Amino acid sequence: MLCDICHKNTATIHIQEIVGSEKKTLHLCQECATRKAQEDSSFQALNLAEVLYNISSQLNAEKKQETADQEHSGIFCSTCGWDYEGFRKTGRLGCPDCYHAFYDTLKSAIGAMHRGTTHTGKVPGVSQGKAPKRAPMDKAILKRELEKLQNLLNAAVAGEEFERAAILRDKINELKEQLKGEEDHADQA
Amino acid sequence: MRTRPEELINSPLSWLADSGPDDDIAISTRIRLARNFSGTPFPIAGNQEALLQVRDLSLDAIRQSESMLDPMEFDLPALNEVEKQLLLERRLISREMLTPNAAACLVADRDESLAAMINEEDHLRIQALSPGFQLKTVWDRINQFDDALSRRIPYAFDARLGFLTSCPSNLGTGMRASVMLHLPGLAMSGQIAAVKQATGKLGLAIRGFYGEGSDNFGNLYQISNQSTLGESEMQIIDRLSSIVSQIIIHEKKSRNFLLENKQSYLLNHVGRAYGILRHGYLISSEEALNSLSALRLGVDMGMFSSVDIHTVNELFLHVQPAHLQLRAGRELSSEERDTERATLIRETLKAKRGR
Ligand SMILES: [Zn+2]
Ligand SMILES: [Zn+2]
Repeated sequence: MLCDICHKNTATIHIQEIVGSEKKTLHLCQECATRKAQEDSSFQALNLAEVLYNISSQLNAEKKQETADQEHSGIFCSTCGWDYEGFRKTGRLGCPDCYHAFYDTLKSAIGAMHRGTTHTGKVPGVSQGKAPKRAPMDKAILKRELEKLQNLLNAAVAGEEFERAAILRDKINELKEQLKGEEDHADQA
Repeated sequence: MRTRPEELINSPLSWLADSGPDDDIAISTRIRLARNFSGTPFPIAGNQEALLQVRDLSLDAIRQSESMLDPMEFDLPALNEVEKQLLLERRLISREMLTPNAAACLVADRDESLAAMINEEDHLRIQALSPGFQLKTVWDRINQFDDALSRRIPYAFDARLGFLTSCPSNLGTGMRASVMLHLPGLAMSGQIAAVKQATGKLGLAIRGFYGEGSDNFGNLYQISNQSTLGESEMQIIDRLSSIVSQIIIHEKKSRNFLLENKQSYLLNHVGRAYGILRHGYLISSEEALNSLSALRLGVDMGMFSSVDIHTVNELFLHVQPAHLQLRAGRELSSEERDTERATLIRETLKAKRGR
């Protein structure tokens, strides 16, 4: 993903703000962020995110769609390398794990495409009619899933994508609960 | 092991040649499921090695499942364009499978009631096809096949999003259920647009069987579910079922209305079509499909005791370009096809008349 100011360097600093119900993100390279801090006298006193939000809102006002695309443009799947560009061009994803990477991007589209957002149909390996609410994934799969999420979380933290990290952390806790549940279940059986 | 597509030409398709519930109006019922291998890139992003492995694992799983009585395997890269087109005309493969892909493969049972496309848009697209209107029976068939495969293949599945597919429009159940309907009555009374509107509001789609822009060819329509996520397979099937039942009732009403109020119009329409089919020497694809539709209507309404609807059903298939060319054993120009098509129809109907 390129820096929102110079459009040349790779953005490494991501500032996210929630204003009202809207989420804004500004992506800056190290250089531009530093220059911005030196040029702007009030910079030190103000919340960095707030200052940068003012710039980003101007950008947004001009080209909202492009900015939305830019916002998504850095997203890619660490398993198969598929990126937002690939999705936009083909309407398809690269691998099953892409649904983790692109979930936030896809959420509203999925809602618009379907009559619901949560699967209530058949679950592999479970006969129809007594399908449990959650997939009874076997322990190995859950553990593999957990490992993968942990890697994604580490990457998000390293990239200072804290909002994404928070989502991943929730998902990891959810899976850990599920894994515990499966183990309890196995003990009883 | 490998089957040649030309072997199929004279092999009867169960979904066209056999009888089924409501088959005067509903020609066939199909349910297709999209499935993928977990942790493996979809065909659009996969490297050849991974996709070849998907192919081999799928073939093993299908063989071991013993779900097909007499499975035929087709290696798509080994087929020429006409042969692929033949499989498309028989609804064994999709348009997507026409594009070159070294790992693409098809397995179909001899009667073509069950099939699996390997490395199409998804790793696996399995389908069951039966004559007439019988969604529940077809669901049982494909569900069993799916269960058998799921014991051998680690499916990509997510508790929230269901079966994970290359295109988000297939998420959840990964299921596309459809019924092919012959609707000359609704077409003649100008009600197709109204039917389209009503089905669209219910999350279902109805489109001309021969694709966009050829809506009215043969008055054949396919109605299917659009949404695949948020409802169970049975909920989707129940909604589709009730709409199809309604459309069938309206089609019957339209036919009766025509018979009671516009009898000479109806007889003229059917009689002229029969004349063209029985005595023509050059028939284009469009004229053949439309005339066959009128003949089928006449047969359904008891105007022809010598012709049965299964003969007409099979003609719908055999008049298509790849079938004509493989039957002739060579490539045919468009005009040659029109001649071959007319000959095939004439001789088929003549043989029926002689009985
Ligand atoms: Zn910069
Ligand atoms: Zn991926």
